[in-house]
Amino acid sequence: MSRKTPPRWRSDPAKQRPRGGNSGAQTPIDLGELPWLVGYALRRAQLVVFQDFFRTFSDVRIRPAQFSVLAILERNPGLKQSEVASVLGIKRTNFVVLVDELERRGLAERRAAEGDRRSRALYLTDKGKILVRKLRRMAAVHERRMTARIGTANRKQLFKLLHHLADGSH
Amino acid sequence: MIVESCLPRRPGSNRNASEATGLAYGPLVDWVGFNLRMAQEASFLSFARQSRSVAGTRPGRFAMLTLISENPGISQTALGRAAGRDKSTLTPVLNDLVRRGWIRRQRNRDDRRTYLLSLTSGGKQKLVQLTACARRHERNLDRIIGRGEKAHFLLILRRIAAEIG
Repeated sequence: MSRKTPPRWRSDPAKQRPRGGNSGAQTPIDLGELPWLVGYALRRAQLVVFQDFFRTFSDVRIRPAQFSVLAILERNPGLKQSEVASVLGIKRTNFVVLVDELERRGLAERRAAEGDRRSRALYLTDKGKILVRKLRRMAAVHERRMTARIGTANRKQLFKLLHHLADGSH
Repeated sequence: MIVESCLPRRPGSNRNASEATGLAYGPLVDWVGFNLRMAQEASFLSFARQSRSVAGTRPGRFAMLTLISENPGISQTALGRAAGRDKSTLTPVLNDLVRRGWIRRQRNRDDRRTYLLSLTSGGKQKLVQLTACARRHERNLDRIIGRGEKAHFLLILRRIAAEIG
């Protein structure tokens, strides 16, 4: 394998180089400047957390986006579809499919919104409410596992910076 | 400047019921995954805006092109491992890059079952453009996080990704 040696942006490669691309005994993959990009590090971390989430919730067949919707509806019954989609940053078409599935599984339901017959308001069913409570307990276990990797002080700092990013990137 | 409806609203400032949306986020505010996702989504959109003059820009494509450029002749398996993708999420991105004429797949002479990847000259040009976009975008993120905080932030993110102990 022919390789370039681009040492850009690398202050201490031996110590700091993430082993994301290391494939055991083979030559490690050169990640170039990617590890020093916040966007890339964010994405990698998010993928790993979601993978753990998928494993945790595979028995109940709930994906992160579905969980978010159920949790929002538990606290905000009667929200319009468009409001939930917008607040979670889910595209409209994807959101319709997601709600279809929750409805088919008897976890949530659409009703005509009060005062606006054209838009649909979302509610949890009784079955949905029971499931959300169970999901919250499962999530707490998953959450403790994630926090254990970084410690509570780092977690606090992480949240602060993530909020800055969510607020300030636009 | 921003398209209101497609931006995630501010989970940080919505701890209970926010002035902005009047929404209660409930347990979501305390979940690492949710907060990562919202920040990543905002950063993703900002990357897209930052580079809207360059057709076909997406962070995932940029990462793939960079990895292939840094490791010419890389196998699909090694690329998937480096990018944290499995076959089902890697293949569509690669197909897309081949279709755009940015990368080429060649059968490995030593192992006919595997393909080796490299950039075409069009792909190299594209990567130069995308890298400029990414750096601009990154400077924006650096400004938001604060110079002094960046190293620590990356360290935390890598610990979460279990890339370092």
